[in-house]
Amino acid sequence: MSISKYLKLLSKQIINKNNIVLIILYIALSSIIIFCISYFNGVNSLWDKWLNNSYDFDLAYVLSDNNTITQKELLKKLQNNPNVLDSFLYDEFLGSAIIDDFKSSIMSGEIKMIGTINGNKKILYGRDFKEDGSMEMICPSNFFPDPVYVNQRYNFNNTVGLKNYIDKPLNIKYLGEYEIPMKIVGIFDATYDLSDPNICYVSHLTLKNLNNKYQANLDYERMPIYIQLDNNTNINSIKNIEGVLDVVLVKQIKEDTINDVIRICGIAVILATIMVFFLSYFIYKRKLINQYKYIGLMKIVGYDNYIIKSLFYTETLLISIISIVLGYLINIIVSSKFLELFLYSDPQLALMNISISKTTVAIAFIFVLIIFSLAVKIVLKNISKMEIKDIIYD
Amino acid sequence: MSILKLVNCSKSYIKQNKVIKVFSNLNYSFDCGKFYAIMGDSGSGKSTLINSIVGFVSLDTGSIVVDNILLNNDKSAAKIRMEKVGLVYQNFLLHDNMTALENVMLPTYLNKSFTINSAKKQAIYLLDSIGLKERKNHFPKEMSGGEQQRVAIARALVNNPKIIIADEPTGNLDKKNEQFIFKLLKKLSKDGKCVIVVSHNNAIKKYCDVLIELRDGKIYEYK
Repeated sequence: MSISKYLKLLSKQIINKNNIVLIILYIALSSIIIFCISYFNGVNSLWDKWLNNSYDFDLAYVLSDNNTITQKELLKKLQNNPNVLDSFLYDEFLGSAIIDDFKSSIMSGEIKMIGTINGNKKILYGRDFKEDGSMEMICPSNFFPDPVYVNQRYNFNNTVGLKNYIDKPLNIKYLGEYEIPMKIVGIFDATYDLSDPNICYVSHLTLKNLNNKYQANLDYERMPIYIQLDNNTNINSIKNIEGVLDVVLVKQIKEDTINDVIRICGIAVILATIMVFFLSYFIYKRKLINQYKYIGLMKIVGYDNYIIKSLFYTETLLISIISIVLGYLINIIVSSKFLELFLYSDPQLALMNISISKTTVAIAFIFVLIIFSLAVKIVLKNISKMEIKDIIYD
Repeated sequence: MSILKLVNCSKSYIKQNKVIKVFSNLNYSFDCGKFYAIMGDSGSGKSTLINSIVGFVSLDTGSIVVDNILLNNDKSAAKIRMEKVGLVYQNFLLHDNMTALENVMLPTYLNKSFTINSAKKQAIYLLDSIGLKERKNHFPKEMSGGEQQRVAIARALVNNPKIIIADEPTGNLDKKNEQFIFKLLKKLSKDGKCVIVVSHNNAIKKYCDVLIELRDGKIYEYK
């Protein structure tokens, strides 16, 4: 059969009002599967980027044996380890404060302050803090001064306009009691940072001074020790130090969360695949039953099974391609909104800038096409089994 | 001139563990330019016989040769249906989403000697010859039963086959349309085609050249 005749016959078959329903269903199915694959791939690649960029992943909590070694001795030992960039006590690590200037109807103005060494963060505006105990801090680009943002509608655009506050004196209420002058000196890039949006960074010395001054009864011997490793894979060299009972990476805690997300995405891909396969199978089976008479009359006028199957197969292929392209376009429009809705409760995940790469789209295209084709191939096997007598004398 | 040969053809069915013989050891030759009417009681095997000729029913034993093509597999059966035999059935079997013209053109897509334009010309010519040129763009649902059957006959003729086989072609038609169809088939036989019609309708006896009766699995011929 010539190509022009084949195409004419094919067009007759495709331009059919029953196919509109089929195309709509295929668009929905391919859209779901493209979304799931893209998101699965996006979370995975983002996790890799985090692993390489996040300061938090190299932080670890050291559990010490107080009976064999004092905190001071252990700190010294840890400082001498070549894999340890920074080691400090809990009072040099975490504090909380309220900034009155940031209070509003939706924000309480409450921030957390984490002590660290400078040079850990990529500064977007201003500069990094000094390590001489100055009352300086740097805050994230997704800054949102409220610890209960998790339960609220987190609006990334509704922030305090942090750039306007750089280098301006702010009064903080440390531990809810005292007013201390403090300055935000820089804004760091929070894109690949796993910290909460209300966490700002100060030097260890700043935090230590604040705690010494405002927090009574600090028991240094019972205080947990934190370390920053040069690379979290070097954790075993710390575990072998005498007096160390255990070392727990912050990464491990974060990893559990992200693994949940990846797992959900993976399950969604599998479920969507099964759904796409069976729905395609049943939709096409129904379509074939509806076209029973048409297949019969094609056989009567001399079309053999091969041509009939190839016509149906090409039709499916074209419908699938149209559906996948439209599904992809719809996906671009709705997926960001959907993600925001899905992840607003976790601003760190909601901040993930999941871009759908060309490779992901190609994989999703081929994947969906294979599933559609496979389902239709199985259905088309029935054409050879069709009893022509039943059609003629129906 | 013999165009269709049945050689020792036998067919039986197994129903509820019982072997039911439809026909056995049939030998017969059909010639071009003749109108054959196959008659017989219900269940005598008339439809089974003509469906065997085009490969829709496989024989137990024997062979069928259509214009020197031995019917021995699906491919040869498809070739016979496309090139040698035009089929007409009681329920017309037209494509609902195609116009009369498109329905008539459908078999030509397989025929290399037709381009789309020449197929269209041939289909219009045939529709004209059966008085349906003005209805060429109408869909089957917009036509009467008689008109649909005429479209089905035009479709059967479009590839210029040497044999026309019709199974109860007037079964769903009124007297007037029945006469028209029989006359049309008669004319085709006069034009040199071998026309084989299965019918219960006694009116066919007026038009046929050879009357074949299938009884007890055997052929009885009356000229």
